[in-house]
Amino acid sequence: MQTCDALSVTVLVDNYIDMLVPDGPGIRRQGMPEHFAPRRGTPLAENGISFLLRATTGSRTTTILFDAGMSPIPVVHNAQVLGIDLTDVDQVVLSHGHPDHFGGIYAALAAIGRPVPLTIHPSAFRPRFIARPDVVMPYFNMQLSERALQDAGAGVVAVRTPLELAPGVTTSGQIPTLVDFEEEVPSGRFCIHDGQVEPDPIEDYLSLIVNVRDLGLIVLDPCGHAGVISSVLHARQLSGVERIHALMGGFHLGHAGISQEKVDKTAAALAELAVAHISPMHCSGFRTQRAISERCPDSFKLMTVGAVVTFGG
Amino acid sequence: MFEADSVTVTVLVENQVDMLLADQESPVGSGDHCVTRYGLIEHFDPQLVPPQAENGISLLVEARRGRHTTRVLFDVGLTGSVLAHNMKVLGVDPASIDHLVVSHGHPDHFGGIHRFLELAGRPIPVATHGDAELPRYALMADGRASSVYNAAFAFSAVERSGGIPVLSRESLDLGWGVHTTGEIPRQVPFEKPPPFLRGAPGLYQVSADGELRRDDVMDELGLVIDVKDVGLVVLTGCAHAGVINTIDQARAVCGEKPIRAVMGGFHLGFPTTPAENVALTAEALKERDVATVMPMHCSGLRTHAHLTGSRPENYLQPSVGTVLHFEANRA
Repeated sequence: MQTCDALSVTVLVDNYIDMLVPDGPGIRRQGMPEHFAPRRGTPLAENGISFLLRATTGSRTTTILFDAGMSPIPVVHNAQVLGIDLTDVDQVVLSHGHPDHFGGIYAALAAIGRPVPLTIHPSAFRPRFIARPDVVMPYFNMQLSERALQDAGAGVVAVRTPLELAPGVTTSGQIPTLVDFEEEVPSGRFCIHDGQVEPDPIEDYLSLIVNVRDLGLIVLDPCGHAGVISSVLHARQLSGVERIHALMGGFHLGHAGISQEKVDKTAAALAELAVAHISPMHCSGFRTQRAISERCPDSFKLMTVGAVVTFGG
Repeated sequence: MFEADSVTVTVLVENQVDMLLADQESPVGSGDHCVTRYGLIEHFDPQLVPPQAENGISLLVEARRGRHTTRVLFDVGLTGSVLAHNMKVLGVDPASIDHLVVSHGHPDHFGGIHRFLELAGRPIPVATHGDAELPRYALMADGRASSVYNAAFAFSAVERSGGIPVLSRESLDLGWGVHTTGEIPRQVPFEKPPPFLRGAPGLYQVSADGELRRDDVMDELGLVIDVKDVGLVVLTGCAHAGVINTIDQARAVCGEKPIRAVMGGFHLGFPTTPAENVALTAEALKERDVATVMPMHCSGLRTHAHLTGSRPENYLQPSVGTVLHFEANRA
């Protein structure tokens, strides 16, 4: 796999904001001065996630918007607060077809303001629904359609396999679950495929993999639906690069029904992989943040909305 | 003194939101199903709008007695836009608020006041401490200074927006068992501020006499609700006075009753707060037998990590849209 010279990752949307968390090596945040004497407003959090990546190789920088949060306001508002011009965006990627990841996409596309390629797995457009003993919610993802994305200016690239977006930057393609403890039996969630109602495997889920020169892989895994350890191992296989430098995103361990054992196994596996920077965000849950902060205290980096993390360069 | 038959507290603004949290009993195993969440179903429902979070706090308190309800808004968040958005999402009518209490004069607590008063559309009493408007600024550890940041909370500006400042160092009775704590004595040893070093990084304030002093946020007030046969529900804005001092002051106001719950900013997330204060606070909460503990806002990950480990059955994770209800003998 090719490399890029440097990568910066901006947390455009996340579930958590905290002006009291100090900057650290390679991490700049929106702190108290930015909150108490704001020049362009203060950042918003919501139950969603969005990253802005800037991957630089030589004199060329590619700007990628990865997911768009849950609703129209935060992604666009936060870009403005952070002084980010969304018209710089070269590529858009949606990790999967859940509303907390695509909800702000139309507002973001409007802010980008010109046709832009949008990479997504073709299964993301399947009608999805929730059916549990207490509630049935049909077609909660109906706001995501190829047609609506196209109308908003996206050139939809519907692809199952990995796709290289810039030197050293690739989508994961469909991610196989590679470790036993991450196997999951879908419960209460369904999709319609070829006219059949099926349990929803969320096969559309993708991560982004960036190979930064001299550092190794940065894996951005916004919701962990394939399991974060599987996602990291898949990134290794796909790239042929052994070293995992960073893992950021939603680890999908925040559900009340997730066992403490699964949380602990995930933390142990990340410790064993010697990942230097671990940021459990969004749907990871406090239990996971605690487990990783205790197991890997030097690697654990709490993310807050507006944080900018720089790798390499 | 009057007691409320029941109280409902709604988290209108907070630093985090998490749709994966489940409705739950608190304490776990108590049979009291008191906590309702704005969950995944509400977030994914295409007909609903999701709530927002920001670095601030606002709690709606609805105390009922018989057929009467008093609605007190405790703090108004950082910007007002998030408060306005979430009130709409959660179905709270700003005009229904009887009383606003601003815990202290920091922007993440008073920031939404003008927007809120505009939405309320009628004069609303604003209870706070007289020192809350005195000029404040901060020196950052990296040498930067943040210029006076509480000018928007000048009481004259509050009045122009339709607020009626009610300035008191003493506890105020807001009806049906709801009281401000008044000024909070700093008695617990580990919650006492360290010695003042002029020019050191930290918060500064100019006193009414024109003296520059370290800002110990003596204006900070808590809110306490005295619920019949349940005990005291204690709310802290940022707990600059210390969360344990706030609880003790709540008891000084309402009497030595059980502490049913404490929630709000615990002020343990500051990088300058000694790390051991987290464990000392947890121990003091246990000593006082506090049944439900929900650290919010400025409490910091260390506090959440410690409490989920040491007292998991009593700990509640905060999230925008969470509703807590306390009532004796619920059907």
